[in-house]
Amino acid sequence: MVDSSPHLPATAGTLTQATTTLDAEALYRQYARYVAAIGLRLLGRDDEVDDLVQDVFLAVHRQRGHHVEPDAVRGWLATVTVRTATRKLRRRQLKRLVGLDAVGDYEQLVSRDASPEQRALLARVYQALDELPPRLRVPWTLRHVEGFKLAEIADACDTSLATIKRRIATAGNALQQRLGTS
Amino acid sequence: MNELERQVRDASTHLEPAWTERRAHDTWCAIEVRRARRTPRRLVALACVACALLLAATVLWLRDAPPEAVDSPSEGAQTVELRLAPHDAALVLGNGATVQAVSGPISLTVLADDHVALNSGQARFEASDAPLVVRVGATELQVAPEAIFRVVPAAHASDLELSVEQGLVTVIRDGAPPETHSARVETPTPQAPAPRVTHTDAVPGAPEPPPLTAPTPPAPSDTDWRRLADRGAFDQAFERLRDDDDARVRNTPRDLMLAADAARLSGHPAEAVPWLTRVVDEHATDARAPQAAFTLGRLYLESLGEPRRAAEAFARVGALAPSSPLAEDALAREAQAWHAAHRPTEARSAARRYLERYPDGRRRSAVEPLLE
Repeated sequence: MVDSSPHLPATAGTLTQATTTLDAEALYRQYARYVAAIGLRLLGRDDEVDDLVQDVFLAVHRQRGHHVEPDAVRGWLATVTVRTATRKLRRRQLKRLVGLDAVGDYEQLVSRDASPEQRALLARVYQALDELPPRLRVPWTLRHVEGFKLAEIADACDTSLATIKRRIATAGNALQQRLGTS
Repeated sequence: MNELERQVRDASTHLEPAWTERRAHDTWCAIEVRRARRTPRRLVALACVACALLLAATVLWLRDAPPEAVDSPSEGAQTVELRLAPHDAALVLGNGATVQAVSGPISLTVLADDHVALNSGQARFEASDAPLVVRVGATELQVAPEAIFRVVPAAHASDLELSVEQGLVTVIRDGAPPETHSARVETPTPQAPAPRVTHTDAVPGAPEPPPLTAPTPPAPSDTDWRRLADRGAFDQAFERLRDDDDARVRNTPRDLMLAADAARLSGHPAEAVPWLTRVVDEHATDARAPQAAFTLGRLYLESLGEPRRAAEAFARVGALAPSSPLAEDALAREAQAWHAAHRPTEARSAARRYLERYPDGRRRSAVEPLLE
């Protein structure tokens, strides 16, 4: 399997700058919940989250021992998570094409303190997202569910800002048509 | 942002995974298993396991009774019983650990890739970079990665003789506190090469040189994180936990609370959360669980800026121990935490419950304004 996980952000300057050695277990303790949260919002299916978290931290293991700037770690993990989730969504799309994808139960996606209207809205949105290709679904979700900035989305999706804006707009229009909202 | 996107953004605040400590632990274990299986060395080792088992089975079949596959009555799964002699090649388990008979034949039952039962004889185990469990009668040995030790069952069902050559082995017996046995291999420093031992030819009439004796194992390290935490050296204790590969936090309320203290009292409140959560979730009947829940609530509220989680943790105190001395304070703080989380309905409900249960309570003046 080709390792397509993004490389660690290069440390700037000399060794005298503050860096931290990448420690997979320490990062897992600190960021597993964060990775799981992004994963859930991108995939929309809780039963796929554990596998995604495993894939992300296996990628971290492969980079262990490297020195990184502490401020860059969170962003790097987010990027790995987005790309891992995108690969899973592509596989899901293939399964859908051949009729092998099970329909997700999106009503159970939200926590119990959500209102019935919010629960119904997110269920419909995720069903509609399932019909979008990942290249549109992922940027839109990162923007409007996860709340990422456009530049962060462009980095995570490894594409230009202009392309990301275009894809988010296209996805938004498609969702509005599917959901019958103006 | 259009109306749909605004509504989605509001609703998505309720889109959080149920990331419990158990789930985090199980996922981490799965990562370790996958990591062990993915490297090329492990693929070769797995192939060697298959060959070694086949060879061992063939040798045993030719000399003795063949290995028996028996149904484990408790698990309903098949296990493999094996016998090894001292001159047999080491048995390689599914997780890479090896087992050898030492001074006589041994009988063991392989229960899983990382779980064996030693039935008889003295065995020498070398753990791989994954944990291992060895059952000896009614006693369980939890073996840390890279540990090396010898063990032989003794006459009494709960006794055994254990000698740790390297690493950490924890002995778990029912009704007794866990015992940790460890040994550390000292690596020579480049500046101090090991002394060379020379043997001179024996001279007739000269006294025989004294026999070489095995070096005494080093005393248990005083830098064990538990000792440091017990002494109040929380910074060093947390550093050990974070940096020392051999440092482990056992799944006991004492260890979990101590590790949490080391974390939060050294200025790492977020790192204390998983340990405290584990006490509350997995040791709910322990006397320390309400204290863990209360501490969790304070961390969420005062250090981590998560008032909703704080309110849930304080609510747990009341559920675990409604009559405990902590319950009154916890209910008052629950009300305050809901208020901080901008959840006025829940805040008022908690405030009312407080005033009903504790009409003369010491936190009355802090709680009453929440009803307005």
